[in-house]
Amino acid sequence: MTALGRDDLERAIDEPDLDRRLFITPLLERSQIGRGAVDLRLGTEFLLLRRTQLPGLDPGKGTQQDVDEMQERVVVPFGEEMWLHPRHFVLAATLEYFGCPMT
Amino acid sequence: MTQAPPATAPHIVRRAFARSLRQSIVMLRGAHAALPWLAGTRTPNVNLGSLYVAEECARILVGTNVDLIVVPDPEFMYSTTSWPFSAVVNTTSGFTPTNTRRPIVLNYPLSDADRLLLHPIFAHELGHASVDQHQLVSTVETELDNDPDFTTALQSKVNDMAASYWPALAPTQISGILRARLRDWIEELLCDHLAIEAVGPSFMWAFVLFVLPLGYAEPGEQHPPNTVRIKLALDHLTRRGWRPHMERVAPGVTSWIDQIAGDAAGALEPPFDFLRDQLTRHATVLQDVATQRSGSGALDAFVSAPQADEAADLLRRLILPVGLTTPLDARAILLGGWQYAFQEHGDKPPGLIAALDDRRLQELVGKAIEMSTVASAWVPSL
Repeated sequence: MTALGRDDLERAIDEPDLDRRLFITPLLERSQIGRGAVDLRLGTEFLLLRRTQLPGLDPGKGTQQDVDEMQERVVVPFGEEMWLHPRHFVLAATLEYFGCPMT
Repeated sequence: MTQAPPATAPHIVRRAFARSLRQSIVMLRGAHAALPWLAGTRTPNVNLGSLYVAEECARILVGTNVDLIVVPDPEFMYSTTSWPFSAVVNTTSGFTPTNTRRPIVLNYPLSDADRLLLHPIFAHELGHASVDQHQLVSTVETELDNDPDFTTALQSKVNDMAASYWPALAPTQISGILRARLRDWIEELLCDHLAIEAVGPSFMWAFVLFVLPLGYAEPGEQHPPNTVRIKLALDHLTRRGWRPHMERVAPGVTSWIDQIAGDAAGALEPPFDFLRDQLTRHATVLQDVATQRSGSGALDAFVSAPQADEAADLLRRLILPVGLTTPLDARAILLGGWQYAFQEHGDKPPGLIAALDDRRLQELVGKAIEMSTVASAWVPSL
C-alpha cells in the first residue's frame, strides 16, 4: 500500500468514472486535502461511554442490552456544542462519509 | 389560587371556588401533556434528516415564524397541535403572550421513528397549521359559494336530506351539518395537496402505505374516503408535472394507485356523495389554493426529478447521496430514497412494505439529507 499525495488525492476525488472515484462526502472545502492526508471534521453523532458494573464488553457475547448499558448515543445538531470533560472518553463519527474504489 | 371558603360561605361562593379548582385541574393537565414535548426537544427520536425536511416544509407551508417540535405520540398516530396551551393562556387573566412565533407540535407514532420513508406525512400534518394560519378553508369555501351550481346543488341536497333522511331536522340545521362536514373534508384534502406541493410523490407513496391499512372507500365525518383522497392527490401530482416521473420510476405502483383512484367514483351514502361530488368537481380550486400557498417553495418536478435520479444512483453504489458537484435538495434526496427503494425492493405494493423495513436505507437517506443541509449552509472559511 502506498500513501497518496495531494495531486493523487485530488485526481481520485475528481475521477469522472464513479466506479473508480474516491468519495469523501460532504467535502466542505478543498483545503481539507493536504499533502498525503485529508483533514476531517467532527460529525454529529457521538457514543459516550458510561461507567457501569460491567467489566467490559465482549464483542462475541455481549448483548444489545450490554451495549446500551455501557454506551449512550448522542446526536449534536450541526452548529451546536458538546462539552468533553477531563477523563471523559467518547467515540465520534466524522462528518464525512467515505467510499473507496476497489483500486 | 384563593383559599377554600368556609363551609358556612354562601353557595355561590363555594361554587365559584369549585369552578376555579376545575380550571386549575385543566391547566395542570395541559402542563402534564406538555412534558413529552419538552423532553422531545432534548432527545429527538427521529433523525436530523427528517427534522430538517419537516422544518423546511414548515417554512414553505406555514411561514418562517414557526417553532417546530417533533415528538412521538403515545396513541401511535400522526397529528398536529398548533398553539398548544392557547386555551389555558386565554383563560388566564393578566398574561399576554409576546412571542408571535407559532409553536407547532408534530406527533408521530413512536414505531415510525426510524421509518423516514413515511415522514412525508409530516408535510400533511404541517398542512393543518398552514390551513389554520392562512385561513385556507375559508378561501375554498368562498370560491364554492361564488359558484351558482354549488349553491343550487347544496340547496337541493338539503331538501333531499330533509325529505328522505333527516326529517326531524330543520333545513338550516341540515345545511349547517353539511357545511361543517364540507369544511372538514376541505381541510383534509387541502393538507394532502399542500403536502404534494412540499414533497411531491414521496407524499403519495407514504400516504398509500400508511392510510390504506386503516380504510379504503369508507367516508368519515372528518375525512373523505381514502380512494377519493388518492384520486384528488393523483390529479394534483399530474397537474404539477409529476406523472411522467412516477410512471418512469414506479410504473407498477403508479398503475396500482390508478386502480385505487378509479374506485373513488363508487357509490356513497348521502350526504357523503354530495361532498365527494362537489369537491371532485371543484378540484382545481383546491389545487390552486395549495399551489398559491406554497409559491416558489414547491418541489419542482423538472428540477427535482434529475436530482432524485442522482440520489438513487449514488444509493445504488452505497455512496451517501449528498451530491456529486453541489448539495442535492433535501426533498429530492427523499424522493431519490423512494426511487431506490422501488429498484431494491420491487415496484409493487409489497415492495413498499419491504422498503419500510429497510432501516439501513432509511438511515442512509436521513444522513444524506442532514449532510446536504450542512453542506448547503456551510460558509467557507477565509
